[in-house]
Amino acid sequence: MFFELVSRNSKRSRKENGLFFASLLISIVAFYNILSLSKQDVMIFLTKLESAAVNKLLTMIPLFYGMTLFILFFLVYFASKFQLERRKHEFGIYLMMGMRRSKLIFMLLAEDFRSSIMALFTGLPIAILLSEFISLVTARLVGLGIVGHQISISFQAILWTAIGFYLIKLIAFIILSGKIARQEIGSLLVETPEGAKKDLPSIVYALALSVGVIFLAAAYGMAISGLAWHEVDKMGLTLILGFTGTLLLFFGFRVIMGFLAKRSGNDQKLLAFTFRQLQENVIHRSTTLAISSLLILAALCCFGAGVAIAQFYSESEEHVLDYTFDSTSQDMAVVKETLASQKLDLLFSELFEMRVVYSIGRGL
Amino acid sequence: MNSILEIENLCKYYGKPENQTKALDGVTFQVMPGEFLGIMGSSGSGKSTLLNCIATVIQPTGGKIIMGRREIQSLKGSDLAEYRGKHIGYLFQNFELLDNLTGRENILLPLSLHNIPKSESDKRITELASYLEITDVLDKFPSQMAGGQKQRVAAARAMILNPSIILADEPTGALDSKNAKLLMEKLLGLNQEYNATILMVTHDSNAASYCKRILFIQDGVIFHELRRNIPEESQQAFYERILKVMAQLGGGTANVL
Ligand SMILES: Nc1ncnc2c1ncn2[C@@H]1O[C@H](COP(=O)(O)OP(=O)(O)OP(=O)(O)O)[C@@H](O)[C@H]1O
Ligand SMILES: [Mg+2]
Repeated sequence: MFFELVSRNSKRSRKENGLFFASLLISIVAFYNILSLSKQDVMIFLTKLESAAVNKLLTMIPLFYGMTLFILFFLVYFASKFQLERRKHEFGIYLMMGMRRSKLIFMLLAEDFRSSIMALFTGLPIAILLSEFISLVTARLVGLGIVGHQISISFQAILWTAIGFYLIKLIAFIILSGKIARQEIGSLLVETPEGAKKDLPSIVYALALSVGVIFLAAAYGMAISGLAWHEVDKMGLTLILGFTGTLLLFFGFRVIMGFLAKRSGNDQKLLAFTFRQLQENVIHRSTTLAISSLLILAALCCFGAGVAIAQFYSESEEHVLDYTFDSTSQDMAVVKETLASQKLDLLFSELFEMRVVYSIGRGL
Repeated sequence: MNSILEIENLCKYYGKPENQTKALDGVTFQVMPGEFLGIMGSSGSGKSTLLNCIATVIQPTGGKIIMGRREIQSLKGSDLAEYRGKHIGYLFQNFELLDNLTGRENILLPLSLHNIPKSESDKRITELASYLEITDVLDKFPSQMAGGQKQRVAAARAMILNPSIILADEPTGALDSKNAKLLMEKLLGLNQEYNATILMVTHDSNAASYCKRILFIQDGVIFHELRRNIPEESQQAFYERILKVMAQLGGGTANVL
């Protein structure tokens, strides 16, 4: 019956929590598509022609993979978090009926494993289809015939997709289940509003706010002035300052909200109520808010970097092809004639001659 | 006779020292085996807090809870799980059944958590179900049951492992008077025929009149006790006595003193 419960719970969470399952699917599809990039028709074709540029691009895949791992971790973490929070009450009942905490964690792990497997089995075919589809479309757009298209399932990509996916799920799970397992049954059974837990003196929030602003200013200052780009250490420092600065800023933000709520409290009742709602639902979840904003920033940076890289490649490499004609056709006119006879002359905008000169040094 | 449950000077304070709620402030009493004990008091007097401390749902601030010679605050790991599952049965005001399990599965949940083979309990579940009149809802989900049926399913779940004591927190709170009466009769039957020990918290003087003894709690301390003189005192007479004490409670301490 224990495993029946597990299967029923994971089925229910898949059905009820579309957000959660969708986040799992998105992770899998994203991983596979990045990892199987080298198997795309266009890529295979380009490797033959411009291997240097393509190889440069392909060496960036691990970096890309790592970045995706990082961003999707937060997606999976928050989706799982909301999922588990909704079920807190249920866990309270299990514990009340005499389930051991270790068994509860084992049950959650088993459920998690089940839903991961389901997500992999649903997600991988979607990912493979999507990757094939992209391959065909890009080949079409670039103007390659689809004659050479072969269905190419990259087993290495599947393997790394599964590894990456389980890794982020496991880390998210360990953090979350640790949090759940430490709570008293009473607080599992009764939902406590966020605002009821934290009531530090407002000076703490004010301090956090100002320190956050200073940190952020320092981080942006270092990045814009170029100081951050000199050494890895400085870059690390900038990132840490930016990260903690954002967290502190959002954490301290409630002092302003509290002030606004109080000021509007006397005359306009509904407005005060709205402010309180904002306080409970938005401001008191400052960490979630801060991390989402950091993720948006990261996504924007990646987008910017992507555009810059694309532009760099398209500008720097104007297409120059060199052909060798045999010794009898050294005259320009003969070359033109040959091209015209093959109806290729319109494909070239300009022809110029290149002579290779061998100079042989004569030593004493 | 040895007591089954002993509460000694139990305290529970909520919040920080400067702004404290003393939900329980030194409560002492004993429960004898086979007893049907009621706890009454106005809202906010600390009744649920008391029950939650006994059920290890929350940690008390001070004092002792001794169940069959063992102090329950010192229980850990599997002993604690065993205590929660086998020594107490908890009946909640809002039933707390799991929505995704049928009535039968809800009742069997404690068994599966303690790895007790189902065959052993099949006889017991049939017996309990027919006694509590829930045989025909066993295969329904909680959302398809009426409130009274849910509470009786919850009662079967609390009884399935034959706990030493049943803790009930306002079990009739969410029921209409007819269903409340039915549930109380069933609880009384469990107490008399199956010799179950029951500790029940309630607001309702009607429900309380089924008890053999009632403790009145106010501001975190016990301030009065009523015993029903069985068999000469009728339930009706006992009920009227309870009403009198409740009236004093409502009228403030001036009348009591
Ligand atoms: N989690 C909590 N945090 C702070 N104070 C609490 C908490 N739970 C209960 N209290 C306070 O403890 C006191 C006793 O609460 P309790 O729930 O035990 O009352 P009760 O007697 O069960 O009331 P009712 O009959 O309305 O259920 C109340 O004053 C309540 O405000
Ligand atoms: Mg209560």
